[in-house]
Amino acid sequence: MSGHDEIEKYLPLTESTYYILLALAEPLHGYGVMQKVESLSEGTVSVGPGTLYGAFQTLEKEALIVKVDEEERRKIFALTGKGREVLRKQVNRLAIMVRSGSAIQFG
Amino acid sequence: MNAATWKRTRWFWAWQDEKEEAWLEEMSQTGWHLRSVQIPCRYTFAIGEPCRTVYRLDFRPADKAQWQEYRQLFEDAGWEYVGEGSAWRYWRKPVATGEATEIFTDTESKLAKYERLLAFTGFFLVFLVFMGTILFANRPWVRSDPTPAISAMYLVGAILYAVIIPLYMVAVAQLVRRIRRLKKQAL
Repeated sequence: MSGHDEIEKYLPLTESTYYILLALAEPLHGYGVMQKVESLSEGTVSVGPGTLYGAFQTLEKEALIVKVDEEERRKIFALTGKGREVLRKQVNRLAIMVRSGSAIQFG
Repeated sequence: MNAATWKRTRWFWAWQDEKEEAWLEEMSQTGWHLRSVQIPCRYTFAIGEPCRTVYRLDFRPADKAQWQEYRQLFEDAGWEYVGEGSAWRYWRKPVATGEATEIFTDTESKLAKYERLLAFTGFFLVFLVFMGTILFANRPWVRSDPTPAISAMYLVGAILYAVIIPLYMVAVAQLVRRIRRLKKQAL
């Protein structure tokens, strides 16, 4: 069961972390991530460079993302297998949240 | 070329970085733009067109290996690096409509910044207390043998210490308060 807990301990992800991982489903550099988060979240979430820099450091240390290339001082990151698994579980959790929330009549 | 410059010294406390950012922004609205930061709190401004520029301060002790990557990320996002004073990194960006004006966009990363600052300040406080204990604990200025000059130096040093240590304690307490407030926001 250690493999299971290994993934669960990261959940739930914060909104920024969720979108950063989502953006890294394909390899991207930092600025690319910022733009993609903006579009994926339909403008509801933006990630500043201070926040992204810290997130990259943490996610790389936890081996959820990995540096795959470097272009003129810009590191290009991609999801690892572990990162993909964390993201998959998060999406499951979110699906449950949306399903249960949709059952309520608002207004 | 020879634009007018203005050197100003302005003290700011570790927990007042947002006030400092606001002040730098006000300065730019009057046409004084930060040109460089020498030592902490010592600024050089250059006169230019008044405009609205936001300033943001990050606290990041030197990390030479990562520096280029860090800087590139900010520059790609439209931030200009102005300088550094005592690990405070000064960033600025002209205000345009619809443009992001924050370098930290979630509570977690804001918290992490103040935690870095607290670790740094706390470590320095412990270091000061430790050195103070070694240097001044047995009141070297009242010993019988030293020359007056050395006694005076010790005494001045001890008085400075007696002022600086409480200031650091206040800084640590304020930072802890700040971090607690931010944690409450993170629902």
